[in-house]
Amino acid sequence: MDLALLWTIQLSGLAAFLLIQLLPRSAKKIAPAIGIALSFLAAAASAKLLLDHANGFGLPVQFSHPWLAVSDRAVWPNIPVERYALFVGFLLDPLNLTMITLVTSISFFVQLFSFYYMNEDRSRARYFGFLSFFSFSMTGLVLSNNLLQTFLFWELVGLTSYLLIGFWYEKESAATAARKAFVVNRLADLGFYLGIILVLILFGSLNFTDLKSQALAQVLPPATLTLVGVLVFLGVMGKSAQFPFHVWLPDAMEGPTPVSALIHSATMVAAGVFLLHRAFDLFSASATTLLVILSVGCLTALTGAALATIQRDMKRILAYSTVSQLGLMTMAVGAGSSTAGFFHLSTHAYFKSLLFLTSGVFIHRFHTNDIWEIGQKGGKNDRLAIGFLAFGLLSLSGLPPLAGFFSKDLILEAIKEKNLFFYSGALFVSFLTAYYSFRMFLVIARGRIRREERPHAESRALKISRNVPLLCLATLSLVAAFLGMPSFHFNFEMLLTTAAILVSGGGLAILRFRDPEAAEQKLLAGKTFMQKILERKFFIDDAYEFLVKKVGLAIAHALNRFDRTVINGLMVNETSFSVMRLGRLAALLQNGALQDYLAWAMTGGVLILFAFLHFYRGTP
Amino acid sequence: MSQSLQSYLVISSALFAIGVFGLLGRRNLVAVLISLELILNSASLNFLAFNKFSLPDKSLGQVFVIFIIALAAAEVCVALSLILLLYRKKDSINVEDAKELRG
Amino acid sequence: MIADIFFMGVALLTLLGALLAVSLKNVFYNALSLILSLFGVACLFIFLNSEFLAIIEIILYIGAIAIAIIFAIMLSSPMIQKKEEKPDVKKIARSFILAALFFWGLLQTLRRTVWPAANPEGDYSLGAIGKSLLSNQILPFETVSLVLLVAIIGALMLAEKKGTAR
Repeated sequence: MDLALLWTIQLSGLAAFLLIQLLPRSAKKIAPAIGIALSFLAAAASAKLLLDHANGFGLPVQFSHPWLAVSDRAVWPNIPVERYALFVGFLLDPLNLTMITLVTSISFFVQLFSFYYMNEDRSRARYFGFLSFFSFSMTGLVLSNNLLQTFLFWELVGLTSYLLIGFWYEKESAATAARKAFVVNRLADLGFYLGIILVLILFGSLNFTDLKSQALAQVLPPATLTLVGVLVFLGVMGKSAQFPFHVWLPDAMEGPTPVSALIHSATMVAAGVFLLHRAFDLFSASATTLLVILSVGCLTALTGAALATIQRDMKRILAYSTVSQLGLMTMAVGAGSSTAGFFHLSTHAYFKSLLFLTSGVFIHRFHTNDIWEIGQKGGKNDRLAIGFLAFGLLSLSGLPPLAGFFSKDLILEAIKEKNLFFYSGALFVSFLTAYYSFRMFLVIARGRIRREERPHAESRALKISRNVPLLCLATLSLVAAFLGMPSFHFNFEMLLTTAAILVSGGGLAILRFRDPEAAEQKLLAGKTFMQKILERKFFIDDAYEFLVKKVGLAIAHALNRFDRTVINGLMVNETSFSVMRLGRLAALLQNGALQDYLAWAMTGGVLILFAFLHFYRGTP
Repeated sequence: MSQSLQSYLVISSALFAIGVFGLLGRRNLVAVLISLELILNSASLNFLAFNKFSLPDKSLGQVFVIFIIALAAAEVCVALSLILLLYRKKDSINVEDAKELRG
Repeated sequence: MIADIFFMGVALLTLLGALLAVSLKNVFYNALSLILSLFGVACLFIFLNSEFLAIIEIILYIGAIAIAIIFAIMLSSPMIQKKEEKPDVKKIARSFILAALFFWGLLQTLRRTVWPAANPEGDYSLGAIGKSLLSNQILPFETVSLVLLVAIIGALMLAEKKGTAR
């Protein structure tokens, strides 16, 4: 029964994609229905699984099948497994039960919302097809039982992200952003792949059930453990937008907003953190790896939060916020508590997707991404949307008893135990989070209405499709914490700290943006040094461009010149030319004079005769 | 000098050398042909010398010389046709005027 | 004793003829010197007990080949040289050196080797030659006749003037 449910969840996305692709042009209109129906099926199946196995009852459920026997002998001396084999299979245990429910439920909500959002788009069918394919890839990633299969779906998810970011491919910026996302991901995946190869060769097995801390430590020396951990973490850095691979995530906002909600806030970018949690033993085997993870996470969190404070584009603010929150999750893992990181992942998924979908409502209604323009066009009049916005932002800032508070609390505790330096960094990030959240809300909600835009009448179906997902997500943002929380102990000190951060961050924002118009004037008037740096995104994109354009191209040009002059010119051409010259020299011998030829022949004869005379003294 | 194998061989070697000199040194094609005949004759002389002094079966060497003479005749026949052809074309039988087969 | 003197004389005659054959300017004189040399060779054949071959040499070589050569000379080169050509010294020097080297090498060879000896007496008769030709040496015999046929045909074809009926 469980296996049947698992197969349903896994294949429903693929089935939807194939069905939609096979639809004739006349029937393309029903594509949304197919997508929504099948994603609902997957969500229902995972709900059933969740209910069946609540509290870890009857888990783990595994289905595993070897498909390639790589070697019969162990390559390294003390490897526990004698036979290397590659497996394919499902693994369902308490870890990914939550995750699969999260992925399928958010997929369903986003598909439902997309019916409203993409209502007027011509290529709707293609969109729903890709969205379903993404669900297939993501569930595959979550349900895999070994690293290689995870990698396979990892790449598929990256592909789907490319297809969806560049959905409006006629727009130059969208196509570029899609390419950027794919290339940066691919670059990071190189590390991941090398890590997988090392693990296979040195350890012998890629199954998660085999990758236990003790077993690993027995087989591999500490330096190798660190190397493997760092390599796999490189892959995580690419997927979860850690510094310096975070550059693709803000640009990924070129895609449709529901895509950003699904992929770039809740599921795909969370895949990295999920892997950290899943294969935590691989990373925790070496303290150095954890330190690297902690540092990278801290850097990411700070960068994301800092850059979010000056963005005008609503989706960009949310994108940088996602980068920052992912950094926090990574920090939690680096501090040793992958549980806290994963918990924050789940709560963040809900309220971030809520925020993205809400911003989708604003964008769809006011046809602009800029928060000032939204404010001026009457943002605060859409009371439902404003309400959801507030809800989501407060969860993000960590107001109790919303879900965000509990998860962030857990993270801060874990970090505080580890290292006070990083703890202060995390606190600063929380401060900035509160600041930019309040800023966004204030600018949208308190803008003086210049030009009012009346909403056009919407059909009932569209209204349902828009509001139901928002409502569900909001509810989950409130409730999810209580459902899935690992442990809670009332910590007065943490409560106080959180309150202080909220007040200070929010207060600063209120101070500066209580009159958004004036603030805008001040901004446009003169930019401080800090602002300039922030606006150029700490010059990271420029650094990449420099590396690629100047350095990379220079190397390429040099190699080209080397190839043309040395290899082609010297070795190839010169060889042929010298042979030709030699030939022409030899051809001079053939001058057509008979007696010259004869003379040469006779000379040869004489030489042979003399050679015989020299070597045979006496009778031969 | 008494007649011995050595003496005959010396004579034939001398004839050969003279023939080679003419072959390489003369400008007139017919003169070259004449030198070639000298070389062939030196070979025949060689054969007969060995025939007398070293071979038990005395007819063998002679048979060989018959063949040499016959072949020399055939060769001269063809060579003279060629020379006449060349003369018709170039109006000269100087070896150095026939250099068209060059590389 | 007398035989030896005769022998030396004949040898010198042969060599003299040969020398003249390669050095005289007038090519007709070359041909005549060739005849002289060939006559000397025929006499040497007699010294070597091969009378039949001596006769054959005179009939064929002198009587046919040398005459043919003279024919060719008459048909192709002018009797009186119109212009004096400068002798090509390099070529003559080169050929002289090569010839000298050959001569010296051959002398050395025959001086060093010990040739197997056999009885100079034997059956030199024409009968023996004929028997040999038709029994042991039948293959080269037939082949030579084929070669002669081919040579004649070839010569005829080469010497044809264009336009004559074949």
